[in-house]
Amino acid sequence: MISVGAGLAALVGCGDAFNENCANSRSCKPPSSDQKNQAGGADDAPGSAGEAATEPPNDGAGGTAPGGSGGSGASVGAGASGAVAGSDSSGGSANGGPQIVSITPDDGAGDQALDTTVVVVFSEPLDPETVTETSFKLLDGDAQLKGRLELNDKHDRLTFKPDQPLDLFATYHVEISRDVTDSDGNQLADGFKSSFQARDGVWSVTTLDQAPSIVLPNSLPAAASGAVLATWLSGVADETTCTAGAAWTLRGQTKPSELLKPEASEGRASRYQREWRRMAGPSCYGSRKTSGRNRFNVDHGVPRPGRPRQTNFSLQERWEQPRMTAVGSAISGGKA
Amino acid sequence: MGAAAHDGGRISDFRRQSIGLYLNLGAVDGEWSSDYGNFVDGTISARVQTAFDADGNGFAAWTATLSGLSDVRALPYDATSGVWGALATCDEAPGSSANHAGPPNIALGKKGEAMTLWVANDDTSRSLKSSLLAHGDEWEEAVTVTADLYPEPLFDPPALAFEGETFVSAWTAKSDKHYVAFTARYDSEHGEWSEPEEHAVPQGDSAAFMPRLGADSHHNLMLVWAVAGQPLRLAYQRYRAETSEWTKAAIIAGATFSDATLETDGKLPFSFSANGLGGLMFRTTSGSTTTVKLAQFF
Repeated sequence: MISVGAGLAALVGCGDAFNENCANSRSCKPPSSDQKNQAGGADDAPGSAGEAATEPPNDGAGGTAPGGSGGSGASVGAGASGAVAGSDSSGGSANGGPQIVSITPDDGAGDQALDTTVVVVFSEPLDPETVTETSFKLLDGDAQLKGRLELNDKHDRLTFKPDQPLDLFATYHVEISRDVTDSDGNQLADGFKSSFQARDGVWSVTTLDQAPSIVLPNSLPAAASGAVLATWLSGVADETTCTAGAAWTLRGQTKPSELLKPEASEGRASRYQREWRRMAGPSCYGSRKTSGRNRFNVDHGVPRPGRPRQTNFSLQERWEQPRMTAVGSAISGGKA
Repeated sequence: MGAAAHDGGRISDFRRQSIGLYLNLGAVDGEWSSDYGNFVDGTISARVQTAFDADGNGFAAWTATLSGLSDVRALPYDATSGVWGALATCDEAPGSSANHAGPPNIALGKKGEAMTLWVANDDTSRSLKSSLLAHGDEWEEAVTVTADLYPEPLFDPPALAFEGETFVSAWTAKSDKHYVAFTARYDSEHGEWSEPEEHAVPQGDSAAFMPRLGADSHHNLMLVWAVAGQPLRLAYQRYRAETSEWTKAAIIAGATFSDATLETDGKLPFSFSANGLGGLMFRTTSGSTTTVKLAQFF
């Protein structure tokens, strides 16, 4: 398996906030050779590899079953247009150029997994130099997806693995231009187009906290990645003390913020933890603070190139008895 | 009352003190602005709502009450100049504080125009109204979304989203003897809303809240509402833009809650992202224990 197309192999992304490779190092590790083989394996149904981070448990009612009904490399269907496999026993088209034997996902397929890999099988080996981000495109409307484009060792099977999970319920289009040629320079007879639809989401309910008294926030801020920052205030029964919780959640994974651990020792606590303790200390309900705005930065967020991982987090305290309100404001490194 | 909005490039933070508004903006990769815009107009403001377009232009809108009368007000924000514009007051449907208009919701269109939506309420009738505001302009004359239905509750703003092409509203209202979630689409060419469309599940009426409505970057919609019962449940329905059809409404498994969620102004925080991921927080009480939960759609 080789990577083709100038620069594409370097496009493996760190967009997922909970990508552990990204969490451990701001420079992403490229997938291992095993991972590459899994992603591009001809016999793999799309979405069968590496789905743990993106596929939810199937506990939602009324939702589409996750994982989708990925095709298995079926022959190009009637809906696809372009250079499809013909009767030329030599494996080429009438003009001697390569043909497309199959594409996965099938043209018109629905319910595809969000980490689907596009696999295209050709009738003969291709010239790797002609397989580029220009001649092969996976499109979301007019926007081209970035990802890893590869040819197998025989040069007759192309795989494209998008960097980012697909959007829910969205339709994607595959376009292969006539610029793709075989090793003799013969072009595809025609450009090729196919499309498929990503699956819809399912619901999953997570318990965040339990306490005698809990106050919900006004808002549930979301980052461009879809990660949300849940915040809440909880109190003991007599409401003489209170504490707060916060958690980033993305695709079913929840990461409580270490910032809001009130049990952190004062001496060893970070500046932020000390700030938190000051804010959430005992008898906060008894306080009559009038300007209840505090803010601080949390070292628990989404990585940004060249900068420490940091999340701006704002906690507002309202001292209007008998309730307080937490407002979390989260951002995560700009647009996806 | 605070509000936070995220437009991909900017985050804003608005909150109320007893009188007046604090307006603050923070950059995605920076600190919060050190200077607050302190807007004081002598009214008591509540239910601040904000919306921003992709360029960072936006509006803040809220309900303002003065001497027992309330109206809907908005400030435009110009991202290029970084300046909040002139106050625009939509006083089409002022009401007394005791019988006031419901809190407004606000969304921005692709031309930077703001749409606000609220429940107009007086002693004898209740209706859902909307008005458009373009930058540098006055609020247009209010348009009635529906006057035949009886929207409830008043404490919760009706839902409003811009799905890429047009505005979509959602609300709970009494129809015949049942409370049902409704949606309608705005026809900008004619300046009117479509006939309301019902959304229901057989398990029960819409209850407790206005629905939550979100749109993704593919113009698909997510509608969530609470279903009456003990305990209450959450239901949802999806709209797929490509086929212009709603999917079958369904109960969200595991999303059951007691009426504890209804306290403190009935918060049901909701978000829905451009990539179709969503979330919704709620809480439930059993005995002396309250549990906070997050329903994630992914």
